Amino acid sequence: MGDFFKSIRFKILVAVLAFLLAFMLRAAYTGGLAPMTSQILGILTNPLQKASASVSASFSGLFDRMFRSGEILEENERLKEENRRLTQRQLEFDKYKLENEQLKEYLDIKEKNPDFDFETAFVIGRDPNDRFYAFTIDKGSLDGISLHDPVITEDGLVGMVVEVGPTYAKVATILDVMLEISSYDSRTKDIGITTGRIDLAEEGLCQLTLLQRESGASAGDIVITSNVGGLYPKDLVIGTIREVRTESHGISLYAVIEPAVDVRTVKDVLVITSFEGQASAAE
Amino acid sequence: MKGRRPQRNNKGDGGANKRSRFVLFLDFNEGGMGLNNNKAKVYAVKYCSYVLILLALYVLQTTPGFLSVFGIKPNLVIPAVVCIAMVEGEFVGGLLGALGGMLLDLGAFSVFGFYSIQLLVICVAIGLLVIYLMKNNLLSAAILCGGTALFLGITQFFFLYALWGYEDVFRLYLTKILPTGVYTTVFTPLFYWGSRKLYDFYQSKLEL
Repeated sequence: MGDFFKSIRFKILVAVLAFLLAFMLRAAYTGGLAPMTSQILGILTNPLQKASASVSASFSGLFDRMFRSGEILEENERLKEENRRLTQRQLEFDKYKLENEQLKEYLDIKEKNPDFDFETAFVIGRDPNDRFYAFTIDKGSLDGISLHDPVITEDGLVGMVVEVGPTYAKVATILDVMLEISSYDSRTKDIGITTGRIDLAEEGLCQLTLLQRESGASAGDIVITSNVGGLYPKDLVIGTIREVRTESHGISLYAVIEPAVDVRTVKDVLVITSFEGQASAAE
Repeated sequence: MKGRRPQRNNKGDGGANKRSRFVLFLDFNEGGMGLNNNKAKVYAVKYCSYVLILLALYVLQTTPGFLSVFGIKPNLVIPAVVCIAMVEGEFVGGLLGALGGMLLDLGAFSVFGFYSIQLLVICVAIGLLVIYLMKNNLLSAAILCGGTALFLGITQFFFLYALWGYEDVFRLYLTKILPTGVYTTVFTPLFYWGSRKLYDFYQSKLEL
């Protein structure tokens, strides 16, 4: 074996190792910016991933209908129940809306419509090594997407761009323990941090942490973003509180959130490339 | 010491041109430089086919829903590079291990180099182990694939999760990382058989 360590083959392998280490250090230094090797591989593999994801999507729809009939029935029952609850809420909402409009008219306050710039994207890859349903989308820096851009669907917040290549971007979801989103309960205005939790992520749930013990948050409340820090636009829907629990240390509460979007199966997303109050990536 | 030691033939054809020299420079297990154009083409096709197989496996393993069982997906690139390192030896195995690792880095949410550096070193070690210590058979392949998948899982678990002190982190290891390693190992026979066939196919072409 001593021959191997003296051979030119060994020297070449050491050179490759040094090359990879240099790229690793650069990647660690630049954060979410994909290194050149990743960018080249990304450009090569993205069209194939896109084609493969399209085929997979059409097949999974067929198999879903065939094998998930029991689950779909159960979901149907749950949705009916939710529909009844929402109808009740709608009545209340209409009442408040009318009242609100009257107040607005009275105070002559113009409703603010935030100017979002969107980029539509398709989920082309889900890596087997990721534990929180992170995914890769088919748009990158060439489409105007940049680091920390929020990712949503029409139902609510999905996650955030954490790495950008020229033709792809990686998105961490709201189930990820590394993502922390300043948010609040839309009814009680109790503020907290929405983040992932390992045991909840398995069920597709996340949590609103750091709720004060006196918090009035309860099941059914809607959790929305607060734009503190400038990473997410204000009032994006994150999800609905399923239950409120006491933290293991007993000092504060946390709410289990059922996200508005099932990030485990999402296929099409919108990336918000610009919004009012956005902080730059450098900040 | 069990196993084989690759015979290195340093005798070359005197008339080899620059192109064949370049391709054969990569083939250190066969003694390197100086074979004819036909053999150079076979080597080029062989290495290209390995690269294309790895690219195809990466695309398949990242395809949403592909082979997913209870949210667990196999990592097809790992058994592929391990089995290639077993048949091709430490040098080609190491280089293809690094390529496989770069593909894993491309899809993963860790810093670039996390998988490529590990797989480069692991595949070189596997190439040397099979030459000097282990028999080149399916059992060895299963042990090496399982060991590699679990080792990568442990480093991922430690550096990406345990080190940061997240709550309930061992649950993640037991419910996600360990099953992924086991599920990945299940594919070993397929890749072991495939890499042996591919190696034998190209060897027969080279011996013609």
